[in-house]
Amino acid sequence: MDGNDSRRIDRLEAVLRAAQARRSAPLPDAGLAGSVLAAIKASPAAAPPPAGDDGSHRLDRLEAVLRLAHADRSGPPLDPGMAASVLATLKAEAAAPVVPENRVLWRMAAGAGVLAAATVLFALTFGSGLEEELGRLLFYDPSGQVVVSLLGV
Amino acid sequence: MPVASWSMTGSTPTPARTAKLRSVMVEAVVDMEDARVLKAIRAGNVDAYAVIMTKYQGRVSGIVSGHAPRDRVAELTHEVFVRAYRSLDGYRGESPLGHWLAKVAVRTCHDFWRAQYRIKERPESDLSDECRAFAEEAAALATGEAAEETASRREAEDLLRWALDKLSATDRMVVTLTHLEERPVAEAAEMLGMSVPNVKVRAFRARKKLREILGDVIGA
Repeated sequence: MDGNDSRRIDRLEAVLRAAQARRSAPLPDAGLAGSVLAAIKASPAAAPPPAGDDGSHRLDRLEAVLRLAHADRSGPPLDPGMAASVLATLKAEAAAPVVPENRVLWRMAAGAGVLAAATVLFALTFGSGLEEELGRLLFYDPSGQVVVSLLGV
Repeated sequence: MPVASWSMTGSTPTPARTAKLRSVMVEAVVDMEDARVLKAIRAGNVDAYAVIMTKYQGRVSGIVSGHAPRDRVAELTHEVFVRAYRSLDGYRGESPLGHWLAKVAVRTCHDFWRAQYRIKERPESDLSDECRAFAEEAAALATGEAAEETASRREAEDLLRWALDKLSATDRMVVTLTHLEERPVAEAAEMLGMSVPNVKVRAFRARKKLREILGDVIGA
């Protein structure tokens, strides 16, 4: 397309735009509203609102009622003897004999058990070379003499 | 208010400012009373605790009755005050004693429901026909006045309790505090001892689940 064609198209567009702007609306129809309403009434019944909307509103109403029910909820009458009852409970707890702390004893028992198990294991494996390894590990005693002397063997 | 104090603050006395200052002073006086009683309790006077219990029994009982079954309210209120006494060393006075007791009450109710849910034999009741009919009626109400009247019926409480029984212990506490009692999320989180984001997420999910449960009842 050359420059002449492009200018021709621009002029044509300008003419059409001017014609569009000069278009005048038709005279108002006095019976338009009546005919539109008649058409609407004559058409099949409008589709019901989506089920979700209606269900949501019903849930909202039910929630509002339940919220009110919760707010209006009244508890039982106050117990006049509650304070005395609580004080009695607290005093009974305070007067209860103190159970001696058994934790240290249990730990000592556990330690003795571990030591006994280690001794049994050691005795069972004595002569297998394990004691020499232990001696090397603990006392840097390659020949295991320290362990032997400790055990009095 | 004496003129000298206003001139010292540099602000102009107005009715609103005066009323606010009076309420702060009243609260300070009340807190001072509680502080005096707490001091006596910490000094070893256990009987002084009766003053605290008498003063806050109504408030604590009201909170407990909003969360627990009616026949367990007295027992749980008793438990709240026993727990509060045991943890009095943890009360530093940063908030009014009533707020602190409210927290203890909510956490006691939470522990109650967690214990209840651990009991495998906990009965799950079926919803009665009357409650189903009530739910349909409540869902069709048009006016707020009708809602007020309808909410006072026994079926409303039964339906609410039945629906909350379907939620977990923590979810029922969260949805009761945030949705039914309309407390701010931050306040509910503080009362339950949970983080705000946790409560936000739980509140959203619990409410959604509650609506699903109620929706199944009314066929929505």
